[in-house]
Amino acid sequence: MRRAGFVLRRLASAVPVLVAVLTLSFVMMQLVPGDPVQTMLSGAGPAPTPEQEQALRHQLGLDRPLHEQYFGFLADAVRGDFGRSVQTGEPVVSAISAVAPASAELALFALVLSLVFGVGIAVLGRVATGPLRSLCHGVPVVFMSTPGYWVALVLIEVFSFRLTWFPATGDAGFGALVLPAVTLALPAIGVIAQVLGTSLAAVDAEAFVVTARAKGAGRWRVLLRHALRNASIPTITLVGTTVGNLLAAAVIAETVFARPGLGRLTLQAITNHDIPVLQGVVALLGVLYVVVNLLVDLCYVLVDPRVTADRIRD
Amino acid sequence: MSLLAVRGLRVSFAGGRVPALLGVDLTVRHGQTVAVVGESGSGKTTLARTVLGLLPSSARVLGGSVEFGGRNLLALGERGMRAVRGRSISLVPQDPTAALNPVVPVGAQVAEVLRVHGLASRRDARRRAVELLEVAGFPDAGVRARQYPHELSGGMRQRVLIAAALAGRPDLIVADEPTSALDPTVQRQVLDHLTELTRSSGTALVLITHDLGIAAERAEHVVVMADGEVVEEGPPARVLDAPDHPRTRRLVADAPSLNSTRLNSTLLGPSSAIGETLLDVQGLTKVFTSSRFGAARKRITAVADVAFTVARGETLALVGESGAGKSTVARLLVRLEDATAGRILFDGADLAALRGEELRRFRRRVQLVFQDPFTCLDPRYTAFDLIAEPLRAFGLDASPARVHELAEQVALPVGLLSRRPGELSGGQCQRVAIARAVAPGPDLLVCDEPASSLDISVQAQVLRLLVDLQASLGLSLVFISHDLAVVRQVADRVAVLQAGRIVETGPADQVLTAPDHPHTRALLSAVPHLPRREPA
Amino acid sequence: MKRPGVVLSLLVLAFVVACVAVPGLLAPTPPDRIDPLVMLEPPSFAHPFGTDQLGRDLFSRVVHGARMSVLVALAAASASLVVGALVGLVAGMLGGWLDALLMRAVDVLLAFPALLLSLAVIGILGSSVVNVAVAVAVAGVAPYCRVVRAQVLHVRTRPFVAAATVSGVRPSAVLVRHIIPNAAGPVLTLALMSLGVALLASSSLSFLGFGPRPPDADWGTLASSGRDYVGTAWWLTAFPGLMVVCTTLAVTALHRAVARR
Repeated sequence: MRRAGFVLRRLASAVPVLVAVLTLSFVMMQLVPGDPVQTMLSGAGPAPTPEQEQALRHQLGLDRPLHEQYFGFLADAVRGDFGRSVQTGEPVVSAISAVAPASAELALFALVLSLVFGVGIAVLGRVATGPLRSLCHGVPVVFMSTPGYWVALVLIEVFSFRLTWFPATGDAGFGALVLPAVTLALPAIGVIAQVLGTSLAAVDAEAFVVTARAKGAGRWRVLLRHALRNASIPTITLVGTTVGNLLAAAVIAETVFARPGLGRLTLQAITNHDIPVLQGVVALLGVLYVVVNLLVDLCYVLVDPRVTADRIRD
Repeated sequence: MSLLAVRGLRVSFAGGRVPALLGVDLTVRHGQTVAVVGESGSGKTTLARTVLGLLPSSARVLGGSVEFGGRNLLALGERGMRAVRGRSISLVPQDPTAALNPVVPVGAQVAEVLRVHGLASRRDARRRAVELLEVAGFPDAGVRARQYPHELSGGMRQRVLIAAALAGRPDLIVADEPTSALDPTVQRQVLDHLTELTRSSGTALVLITHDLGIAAERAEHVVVMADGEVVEEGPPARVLDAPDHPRTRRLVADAPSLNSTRLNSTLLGPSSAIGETLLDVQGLTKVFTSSRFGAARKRITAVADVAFTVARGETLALVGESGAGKSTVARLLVRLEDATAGRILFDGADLAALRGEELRRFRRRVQLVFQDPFTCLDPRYTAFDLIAEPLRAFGLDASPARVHELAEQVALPVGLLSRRPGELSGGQCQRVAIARAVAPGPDLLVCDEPASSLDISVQAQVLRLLVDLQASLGLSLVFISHDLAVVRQVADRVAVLQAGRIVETGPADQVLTAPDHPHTRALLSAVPHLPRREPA
Repeated sequence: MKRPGVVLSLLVLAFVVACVAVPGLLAPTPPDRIDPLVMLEPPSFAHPFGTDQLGRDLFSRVVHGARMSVLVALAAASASLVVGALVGLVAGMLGGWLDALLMRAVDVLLAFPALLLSLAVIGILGSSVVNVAVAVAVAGVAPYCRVVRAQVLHVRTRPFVAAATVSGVRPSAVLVRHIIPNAAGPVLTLALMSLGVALLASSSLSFLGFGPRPPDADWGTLASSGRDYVGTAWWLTAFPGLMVVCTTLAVTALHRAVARR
């Protein structure tokens, strides 16, 4: 009951965010220099006549007043209609849905890697001693300081050309997924390990940890039963932003590994000034952000009984 | 034969550079209650932590032994101590709010002891936890066991911790300041529970406290610690009635008590110069409204229809437990908050009418002394700058000579003026704060628990200082405190606050000896008594 | 001081600063001198980082590329700091509807991953070195707004601020003397970290081809132009990338050392 009401209230509060995101993408289109009509007609054989231009302008609704265009855009967006790609003429929705599965597969695998290794390194950094402990404290910083494109190039150099374990390009099978996923996961592993490690260290200084130890609890029990759950809130928040960052990093990984996906689609759209596609991607990200945040908030409620829908933020 | 025998225990921090215990002896017999008394820094908590093997990693045991039931605990190592903790020796920690895991139901936290030591199956442990909570004073233990710490009051949380401490049927419980974070009335209930349960189960209790009254009332044997050493021990009647050691004598003399009388200025003798009304508060009300976007509006009435007057040269004490609205009244009096309703007339003028520059000038006449001397001083400035700040702000003489004069007035060594708050002790910081407050020459000083975060001896010095300043500067005081024994020493008149309302007001002698209202009586009966008392 | 990490970081940064200030002194070979005799040579004594497909000395190109890489990151991080601090300060001090409005705007910014935000800005402004700096600055501004606002709100409730008010200090002086100095610590720490983030982000944008045009090259474009030779001339991508890693690592290590104090 409580949870259902909570979900509904959170969904309701997501509406302004979505409207803001859509507004932003509409504004973006207005800001872009150059005329989309010119872009669409250029390259299509002989120079377009003014009549052709006028017809297209009307068809796109660009001859209407700005506020009409805005509400028209919103109405279309709610129906999932972002028009057609300026470059290919393909409907934006089908262009996106053609590559989305490949990106989802990559991001999901990378997310699993990030969580497993990020949490693993953080926990190991608390229980290990000596050089292993130092390693667990140092590795996250190195991961966070390494640019994704370089990771990708080094991985290709080592694992594709030297060891020939994994293919360097393409999207054929699981083997082709490994190197791009590692590329995406590395910085995320670093951030998760660092944030969770810091929270775990902070929780260790809490009085209830002393209470648990005074009951005779051992190190693992204190860590898993008392520290981890109390330390997890900042990490949950972080995992929420990580999902978006993984998709962003995919721009680079998909370029270097020549994989089809949302990242490359976005990059092409930017280089070609393909605004409708960009708007579609932006809207998709907005929806994703809302969904991920809802899941994150639900995790808060599951993890910490003090969190209620009323005071979920701050 | 003794249960616990600590012999010549020496512990230090920071790799041996900061000594904490310098050869401490402590003996506890089966079923005995021993109080370890001392001020902060005396080493009493380090002693407790050593017995439980829970010293922080920066601490080293340099020598001595801790014999428990014939075994030397110091030789057991972490794995061995794990079997002892909770099973043979358990802990009742200081702050019940911080000491409970906020995300685990309290029943499970009691049951954990049984699970860790393999004393019960998962289901049995759960059932036993409910029983233990029942014994610890929860009539509805079955429901409570499933609740989380934030759903319980402070006193209830401490009773959960007592239940957890008793769960493993230990031979010894170490209680480290078990009630210092609780309100006086709750403090008494929790201590009653603790001592009764240990007595009925035959468990020995080491009660660590700074409060001599608690030690006197609860212990069969009192150990007084100072600077890492045991300076005196014996039965409470003997130690607290006829202390041998000068440190014990000072502790006893400085401990505030209801039997004491109002402190008089050492400079001018009894203050008698109580004049006409300076402050007249009428129907003062403060309602806080939470206005967070998206959340249901909540209205909390912190102060309701409060009225009192303060005459020139008089001290009015506002007394109440936490949440009674005392601090809100203080903030309203200096216009850090605006009242929802009611009037504050200061020297005939209505405070609510003051705006901007007018308000700033008014502040010269009413000053506030904060509860925590550390946080009320900006850590980035020296004591000199901090004392000079109000002088400069009001365009007064801010010369070094004037600042030195103020420092001398509050008995702060002039040599300390170049230090920052972080390099000063709590008592010294509070002197800086008081010097700041009296610097602009106010008529009224509002003191919000000015001594409650300080050690007993420092507290006594600060109270004496306030009384002296009042006499020499002709100040009126609004003195806010939860501690009736402290109030006894400074107040001319007392107003008792409960849930934002004044329930009783009158001359100190009358309110503190023949109270009318049941809440005042409850507060008074909660104050622990020292056995002796001749005026110091 | 027994802080080898900090010393090492300072040494790395000193080298980078030297590259920015006096590249000609460190690498006398002109970065764009083409030498057909030494095409795609692996690292040697004469060419410590090897040579590229046109026989240009990679060490010299990396040293001369430092200026563009570092200045763009520095400009972006500074712009984020200034704008973010102002917005955060205004939101935290004034509160009310303005605070709510500014924070919702920050929420929308944070809804997008930084790199995509930067790409969107470049999509609007077009690609150039200045626009890369602007794009990275826009993407980095939201965390400052949040941190500065949170710090201001936190410091404002500290008792010493109330104490200063009671002591008759004017509101403007309370802000300047007590609130800003005490709020600044974590913000400056964040600034150090965001410099590293800005370097990563700007070099990534250069790598994607939005940075300087040939023959100019920063570390990101250098790594990008070596892509075609992965597997045959590893040094072309390894060394420029390594410079980014080392510089970012040095800045981050300093950030950690500062934050821990």
